[in-house]
Amino acid sequence: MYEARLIARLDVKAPFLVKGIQFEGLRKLGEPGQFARQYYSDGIDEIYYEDTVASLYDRNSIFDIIRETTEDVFVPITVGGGLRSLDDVGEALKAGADKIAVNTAAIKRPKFLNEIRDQFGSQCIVLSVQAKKIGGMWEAYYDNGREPSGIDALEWIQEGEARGVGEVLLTSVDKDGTREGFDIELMQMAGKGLTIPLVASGGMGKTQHCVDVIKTGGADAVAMATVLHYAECELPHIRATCKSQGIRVRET
Amino acid sequence: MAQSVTVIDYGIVNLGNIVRALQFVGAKVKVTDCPSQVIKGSRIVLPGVGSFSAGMSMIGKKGLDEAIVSASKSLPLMGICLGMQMLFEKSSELGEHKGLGIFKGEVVPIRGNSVSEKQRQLKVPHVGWREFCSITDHSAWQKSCLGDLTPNESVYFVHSFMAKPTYTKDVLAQCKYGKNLIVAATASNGTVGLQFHPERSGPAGLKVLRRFVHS
Repeated sequence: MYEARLIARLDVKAPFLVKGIQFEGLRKLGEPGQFARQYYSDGIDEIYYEDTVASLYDRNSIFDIIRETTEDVFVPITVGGGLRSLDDVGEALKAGADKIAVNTAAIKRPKFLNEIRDQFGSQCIVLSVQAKKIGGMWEAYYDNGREPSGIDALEWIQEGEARGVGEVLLTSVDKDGTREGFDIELMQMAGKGLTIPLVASGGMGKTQHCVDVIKTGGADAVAMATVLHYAECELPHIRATCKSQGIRVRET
Repeated sequence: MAQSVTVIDYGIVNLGNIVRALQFVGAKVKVTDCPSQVIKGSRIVLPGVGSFSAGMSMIGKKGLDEAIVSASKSLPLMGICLGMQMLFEKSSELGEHKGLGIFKGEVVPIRGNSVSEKQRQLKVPHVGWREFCSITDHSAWQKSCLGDLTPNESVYFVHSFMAKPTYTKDVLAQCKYGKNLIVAATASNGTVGLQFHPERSGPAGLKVLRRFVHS
């Protein structure tokens, strides 16, 4: 029996919800909290906010968005983007986040992951990996898919697991925003031997893509953005399709 | 008339969500880390995130352990996630540690090496939405804070350890994760323990909190 969580991914350039293609050309779509509330009432399992700007000066705006969202959205919320210190993590959790996702800061200083685990526990760390296919391998990117790190994404995921992260959010930079479907091969490779949950992100264009990345790609959860924001797929339909194809999803 | 709920703050950071959820269902919430205040409200919530030893050591440092145990004798008490686990006698998370002992039993790791039906590795922590299974005592269920749920409504779990009560009569609800039968809720003498997070379980979780606050 397969099972999966369905996660709405909201990229934020405060105060707006934005979405780009392959992390480029961000378009403003509206007020993030409004989208989050809609997805909550449609039965989303989790909300993931990614601060796409995450400048040092602008940090408070994403925390304000989380505070406002958690007033009446009662599902787990993860926040990522620009968290650099244990203080940042503490602030994010205090604002109402259940989990935090880190990419850039962990690539620059991997021990940061151990430190978060020791202070706040594995259950609240998500390693966000932005992988781009280069020849026969996937390279981990940072700064919102802009900067190559020279690190093998698959090895980086294993290292993150060893350092105590509780979950991996794996985004295909190549597929992000394209609606072409997930990078199934990437998910399969990343999921091999992984003992923590793998969240697939980047590329969903129709409901079947979600089914495929769970059944063939081995994902434990699926993050979706474009298809939800543009109302191309609706959550009740996604859930029903998953169920009809043997995937256990949340009963609402 | 708003019911007052005392939420015990022993230093965990994301207290906000349980407070907001309780307020959402109409509770008048007071957050305290002071032993003498624990008994002041009409209901007590012991939330929790993090490791068992860290949680118990914070509770001990603030002198809250005795206050919680003694308050549980006269007031309804709800422990959530780690807050539930700490109500048991001991845990083997990161070495053996003593708990509050309000429930008889211990806290043990989820068996991650047990393989689910699809022969895929069972992931730990157990993260996700799950419905309850095998509710044996329907009258206990109906009288409890879970009573307004239909048994197939899912609630949200995130944990690596699980409670193993000594007495089956204390088990209110279980759920299945791989080969693990996980105790999702326990109840005894006015104290209830929830392994799942009602404050993160959408409308189903709010029903649980509403019932706890208003019954």
